[in-house]
Amino acid sequence: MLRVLAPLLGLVLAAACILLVIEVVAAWVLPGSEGGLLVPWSQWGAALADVSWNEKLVRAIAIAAGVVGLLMVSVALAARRADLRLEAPSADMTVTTSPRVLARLVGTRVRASDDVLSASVTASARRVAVTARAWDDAPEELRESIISRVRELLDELPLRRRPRVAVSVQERGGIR
Amino acid sequence: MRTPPAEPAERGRLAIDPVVLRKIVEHAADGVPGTLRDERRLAGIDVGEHGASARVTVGTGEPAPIDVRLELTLRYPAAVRTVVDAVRTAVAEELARLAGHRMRTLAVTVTGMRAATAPVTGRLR
Repeated sequence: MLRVLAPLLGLVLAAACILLVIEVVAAWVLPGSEGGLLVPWSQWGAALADVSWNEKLVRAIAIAAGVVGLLMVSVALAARRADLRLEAPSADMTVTTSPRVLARLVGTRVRASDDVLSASVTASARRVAVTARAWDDAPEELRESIISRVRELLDELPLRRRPRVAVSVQERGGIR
Repeated sequence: MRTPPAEPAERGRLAIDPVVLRKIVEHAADGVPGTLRDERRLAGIDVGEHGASARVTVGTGEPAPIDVRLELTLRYPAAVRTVVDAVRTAVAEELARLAGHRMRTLAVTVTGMRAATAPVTGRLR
């Protein structure tokens, strides 16, 4: 969720800052002009001047802003590093890797099978999920074969917590 | 009358900048068989390559203990624990030999695992 939220908020903030810079520069260059160049801030100011703090709309917006703020704080507090812990050779060491590294390894291993056309993998400390696409004449036991390949790979890695493996196979028609 | 010179060990103080310690760590880690160098790409353009990346925190004491955070790409398939253990030994030895520091902790993050001969991305030569 943070992967989507953080860039989105960043983009919104960057856009607002660019608009602010444009408006400030426009006010310096054209001091006599009324209103903004891109943003009608003088009209907004006039409209807001007529609004009282006691109005229901203002209160509703304030409550909504508070709720959104609390949600963002709770998301930020709940965020944690998604690193995968590996067995370290000694107690004074910690060894970690990222889910992306594991997903790439699994993807490479799964795609090495002749019967697999393509594969997408998502990995976390708890679960490795593989979606493989295969030709429709692929053997019945392809799913079990992929599971076995992924489990072999997980056996080779010194993961402190072994993730569950979930594999789904989608068949694609046509000539191989 | 000239005052007698101080003992050789007390005539000055040697301070090694953390940047130097970081470079010692990175060089030692890159020299371990099983660690790999990666291409450095900027907007899809090859701008050289990079090896291990380290952050070094110098503690207090004499000699000051060093806490190291290290990011590595490893060759795969290979015994990850064995390579990481070799990295720990090499880094600790080089820090002690070249700078006289003791490595207190080492946190390794494996940022990639790949075959030694496989390119990082598709590339035409």
